[in-house]
Amino acid sequence: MKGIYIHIPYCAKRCAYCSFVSGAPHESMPFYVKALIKEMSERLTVGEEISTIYIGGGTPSVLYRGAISEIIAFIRNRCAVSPTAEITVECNPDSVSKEFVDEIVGAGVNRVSIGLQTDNDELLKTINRPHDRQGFLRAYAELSKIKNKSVDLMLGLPGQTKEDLRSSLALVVSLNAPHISLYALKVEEGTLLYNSGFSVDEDFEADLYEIAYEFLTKNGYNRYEVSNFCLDDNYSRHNFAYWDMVDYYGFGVSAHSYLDGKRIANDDNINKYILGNCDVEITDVSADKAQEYIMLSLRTSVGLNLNRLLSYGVDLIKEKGKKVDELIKNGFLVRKGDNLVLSEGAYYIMNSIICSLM
Amino acid sequence: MLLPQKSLFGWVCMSRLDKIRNFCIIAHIDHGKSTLADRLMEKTGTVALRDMTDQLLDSMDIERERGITIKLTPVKMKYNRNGEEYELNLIDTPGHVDFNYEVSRSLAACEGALLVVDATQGVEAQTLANVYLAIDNDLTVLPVINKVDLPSANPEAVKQEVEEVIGLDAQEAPLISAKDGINIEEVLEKVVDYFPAPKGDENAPLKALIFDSYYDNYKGAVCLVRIKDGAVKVGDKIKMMATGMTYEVTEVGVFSPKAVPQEILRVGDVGYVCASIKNVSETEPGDTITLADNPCAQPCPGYKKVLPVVYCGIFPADGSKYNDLRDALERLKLNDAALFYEQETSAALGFGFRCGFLGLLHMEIIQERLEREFNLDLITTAPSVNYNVYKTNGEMITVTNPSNLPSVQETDHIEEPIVSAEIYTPPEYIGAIMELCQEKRGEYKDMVYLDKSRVKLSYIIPLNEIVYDFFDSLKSRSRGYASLDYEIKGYKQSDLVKLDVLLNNDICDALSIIVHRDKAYQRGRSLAEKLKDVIPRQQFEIPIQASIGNKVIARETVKALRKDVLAKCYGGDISRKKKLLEKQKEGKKRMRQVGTVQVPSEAFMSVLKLDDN
Repeated sequence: MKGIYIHIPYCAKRCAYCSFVSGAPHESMPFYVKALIKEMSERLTVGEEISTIYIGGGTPSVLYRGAISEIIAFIRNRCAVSPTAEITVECNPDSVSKEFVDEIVGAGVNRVSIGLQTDNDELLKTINRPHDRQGFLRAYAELSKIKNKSVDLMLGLPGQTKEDLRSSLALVVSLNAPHISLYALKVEEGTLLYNSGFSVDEDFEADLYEIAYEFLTKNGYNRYEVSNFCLDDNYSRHNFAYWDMVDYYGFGVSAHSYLDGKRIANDDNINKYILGNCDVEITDVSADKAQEYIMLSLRTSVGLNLNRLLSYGVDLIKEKGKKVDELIKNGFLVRKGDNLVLSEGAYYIMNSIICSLM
Repeated sequence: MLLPQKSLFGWVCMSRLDKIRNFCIIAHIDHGKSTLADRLMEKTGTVALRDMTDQLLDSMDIERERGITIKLTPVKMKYNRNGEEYELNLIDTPGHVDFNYEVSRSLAACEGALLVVDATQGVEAQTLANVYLAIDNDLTVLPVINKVDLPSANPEAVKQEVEEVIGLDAQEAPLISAKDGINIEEVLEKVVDYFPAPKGDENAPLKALIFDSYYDNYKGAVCLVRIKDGAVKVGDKIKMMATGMTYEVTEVGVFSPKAVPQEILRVGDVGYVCASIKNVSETEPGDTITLADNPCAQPCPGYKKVLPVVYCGIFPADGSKYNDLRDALERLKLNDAALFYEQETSAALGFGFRCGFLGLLHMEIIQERLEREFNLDLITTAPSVNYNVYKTNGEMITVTNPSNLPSVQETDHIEEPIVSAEIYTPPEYIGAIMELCQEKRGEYKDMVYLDKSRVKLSYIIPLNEIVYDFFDSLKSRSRGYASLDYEIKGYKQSDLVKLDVLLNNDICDALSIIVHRDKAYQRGRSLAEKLKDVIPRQQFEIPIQASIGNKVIARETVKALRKDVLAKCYGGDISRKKKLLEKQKEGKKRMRQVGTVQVPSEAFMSVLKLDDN
């Protein structure tokens, strides 16, 4: 069973923090979809079992009508898509129309991820988002046929206060959104935000994260990964596969695949991709499996399974037992049977802990 | 002056000497010494034009970049004057106070000195110091006014300054531009007419002054010599008078400017002697070479054993590069008798070396060469000096490493080296400089107006303060105009304490310094503040304390790391995140473990220059 990720590099507007490959909706879109289908037909094995499909971007909802259903239909024809497969489409509130919803429901999409980021209209303007609070509520209502919804929120936006965050959380919780992704702002080089000279206050972001964690936990959400919260078992199967090191295909410009111990990165030149000569970088990471597993598994609430790590050739207790004990003693790590899990406080400084174990 | 005479059998002894001129060039940094040397070589056809790269004499990269000379290279030039061919030996001298002794030894190899003065700047401190050295060595000094082509040049005023400040007759001074090659001919003419010919007795036993040496991979240590009496040739058994070591001469020759072997070096000559000498420490500047079985009665005067005055710890930033560092120091030592090093172990920095230098510039040059020529990443500790520690049991020990300072209970008193410092400055900065000297525990001696625009301030200052950041402060408080010259004066008892830094309650030995008690609080505070900025936040809170003995005098805290989690990984792009983590891990390799605390290499370096204000 493998996952499929499809990258749609088009957006109505470029968000101020975004460093990913995306451009304005363009007459090239049909050609891009064609190129996608071509890539899939070259790389997907006929009859291959597929457990999740995730159409992300960019903003897939800005595609012309028919595009998403064509992509999904192609995969269904080519592969054995499991009847219980999770099929997610990312969308922004401003491009969620009735026609869009009808199309994706018809195509069998059963999960949507909506980019809200914040419900403060001023902040939305600051970060150059194309929608406002009302627009989000309208879109959310429009998407009522798809029960499994995820809402993206951000923390650490320029000027965002603790109150702002509480308000956004309260709104999403009041909607009973089954899934919430909560990303800390990172200012990447080349973004509008970077050029504006803004820099993140990490301590304040930590305060915000703490507020969000407490609020969501109190309201019944379960943090199953550092940035992802869900009600009941509405976790993202597709994303979880990344952290669980399950194989996945990535199609489209700048998409990444993980197949058979190799990480495959498509180049980020849209024009080259459309013309069918996308550069591909293949890195054999089969020797890094243990390192990758440490890095990815500790992000999740399941944590790191020592036996699984052993099967990747690393006996953590033998090699870093002293460090592990120290982390446990200092309250950063918790041992649950054969698993090591980060403690609540340790989530904030996950990178330094992961580094000390790698 | 005597005219050379010809005899049937070639030049008679007197006339051979009479056609030799041995001279050097004295100049302040930037006043154009090396450029003038280049022009002289070019004009005498010593170097074909196409072979000229700028500043030939400065053969090391660092010298060329900084426009200073460290190593001395003598050059033999041929010059025709009134139909006679003269042999002009130019001995270049280092321009920095650290190398004062070397300068004095090369001056002792000359009869004349060209004093290059910048027509736009006038006489500078360093110029003065070297002129006095030259006069001490009985040299005839000829001023040369350089850069006369510049719009701001004022040759007449500078001439007057030379006469007033130095007391030299400047009326004959050639007005030149070394850069543009203006009036170089006159300099050469004056070298012949103005400087005396060497004296000496060819029939006396060999007496050759070593004024420098360098290491050659094939020839071993090569002595640069001036033959004062007698002669030396291949096969001669020679003896170093200071060390008593004997060798057999394998090659003698001159530089023009490349080494050219000769049959014999005779009285008055400047050249080189090779004798399968393994190490430059056996060929000390100032030592006298004589014949083993027919020695001269007295060595050349002025020999001193060169001892380091400034010390610091040098460690590889990557601990596994210890052997590379050792090899590099060994290589440098081959060519630098003044460099001293011995193994040192630091709890914080691991294995490294305690190194001794002639002064701050020497230290900087060695550090830079280690990094540049040997591609090493270094951590250096704060410069220290030689302290004489008198223990309660009556014993006296010399301490150069703060970690070796005996405990307060065992110490009766400590003496520190003091220098007499001469600071030359335009009068408007006197106030600021006096304040600085006062802060640096200076003792006012004297102030002299050299002329309307120039003042000489004399102070006695502990060397310990000079090696810290005196020079930088002096420059910044005088907008770069003031210059400093210092000389070790002796030792003085002083209330010195060891200032330790504790990170999360563990002493970090590499950060310990010896300071005067009155300065300890201020230094401790700025140390702690600086460290707070450079030590990255870690999983726990880190108290930083500066202490004297058990008494904490300053305290800062690095707050615990609160958050380092990154944003979303889009579309399964794990590699981005992995790269970041790998970078973080790489960074950790450059960290030193002090007790429980990870300290970046940069932290050790950043405390070397603390802003006292």
